Amino acid sequence: MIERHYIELINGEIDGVNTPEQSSELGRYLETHPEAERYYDELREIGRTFEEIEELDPPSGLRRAILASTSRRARRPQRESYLARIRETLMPQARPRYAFAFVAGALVGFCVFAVSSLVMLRGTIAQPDGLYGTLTAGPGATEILSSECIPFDLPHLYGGACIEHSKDAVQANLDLATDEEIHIIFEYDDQIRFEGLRALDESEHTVRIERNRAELIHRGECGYVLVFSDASDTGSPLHVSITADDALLFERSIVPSGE
Amino acid sequence: MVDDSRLAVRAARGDGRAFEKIVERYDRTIYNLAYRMVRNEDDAEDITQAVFIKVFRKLDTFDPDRKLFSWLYRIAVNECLNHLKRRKHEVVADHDYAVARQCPWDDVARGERSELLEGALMELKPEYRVVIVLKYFLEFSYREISDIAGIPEKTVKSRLFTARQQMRDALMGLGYRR
Repeated sequence: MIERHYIELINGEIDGVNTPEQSSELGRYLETHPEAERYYDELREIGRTFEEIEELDPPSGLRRAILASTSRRARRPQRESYLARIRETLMPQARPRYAFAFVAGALVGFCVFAVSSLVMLRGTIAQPDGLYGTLTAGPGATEILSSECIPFDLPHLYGGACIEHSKDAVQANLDLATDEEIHIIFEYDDQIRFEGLRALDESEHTVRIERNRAELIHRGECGYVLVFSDASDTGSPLHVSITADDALLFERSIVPSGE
Repeated sequence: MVDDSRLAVRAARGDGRAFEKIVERYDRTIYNLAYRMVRNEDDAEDITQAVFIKVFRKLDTFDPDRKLFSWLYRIAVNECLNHLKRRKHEVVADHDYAVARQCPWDDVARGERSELLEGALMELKPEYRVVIVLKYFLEFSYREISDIAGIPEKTVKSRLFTARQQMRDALMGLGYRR
């Protein structure tokens, strides 16, 4: 008959949770109690046999079936709209009690703006195309020459980048999720100039700008928009490379394909 | 490697590739967990599929501060237990192949030993089987098993002791000795 205390020590030993003192106490007990030693060996043998059991390969079509059945029930994307993000950025600490004052101020401001616009733009109201950059773009102003999206599924990085070339600008939209510090480097010729970067979420990031080179150092999860002006009129290539810990993870030249 | 919580958050936002990544990381383990619980390949396949559909539907409720694998395995364990409850007529271990074979355990061929052990595992009540599967096949600690199975650590410990004892008795009952 093995005492309850020693049964617990035996189980604890098998599960690897005994302290060194408990292990020594058990060792001494087993030396003088062959029945307990046999019991211990039998339980340990069960564990060893479990280790021998091989893992099974799931049926080959299982993953496909899972993804097919979930895509039929496709989630409604819950990513916040661009406007919502801007609102959040502009008013991160908005409180309901200030809402009234804000709305009232906005209404007054809008009225003043509307009246002054009518006075100032009397000559262009009849030509809505002339409202460049506001309601209607001027001819060719936002014409996208090409757009390329690259998904990232790298050891230290998940997300993607979309690079859009228009006639006078290049916009890079980045969506990055990473546990390690990564460096995203844009290199370009003299026709291109870095104009600005905007982080869409709070994140740890640094930007280094040099001639023909913009480097974003990022960690965590964040979306970014980088804007470059392009004097070439036909679109200049942008070379993108990503490194982590000095190792090159990704490299690609994005060449505008449209005219 | 991007951590699980980030993938779950992105999948909840509708990123299909992030969900695909979760499936890639866990389908094999969930399938094996299900198989060890029900010992039937078709049922294990159905359970795995049901688990991921549930995960997909419930992604909104996932708390990113929790570990995704705990949450996933908890859903899987519940799915297995519900499946067994629904079926009632559990797969019963086939004793015939080992009738009164008085021979040392070490002399039994490896494949047969595994078969015997799996048979003994199926004789356990599902709540005991769960802790054995989580401990031996997935190598979780008491705390992790407690989190996944939704029972106190103390209960994990006592269920493991009892389950091991019952398996030993079942194997000895089949005529095997050390």
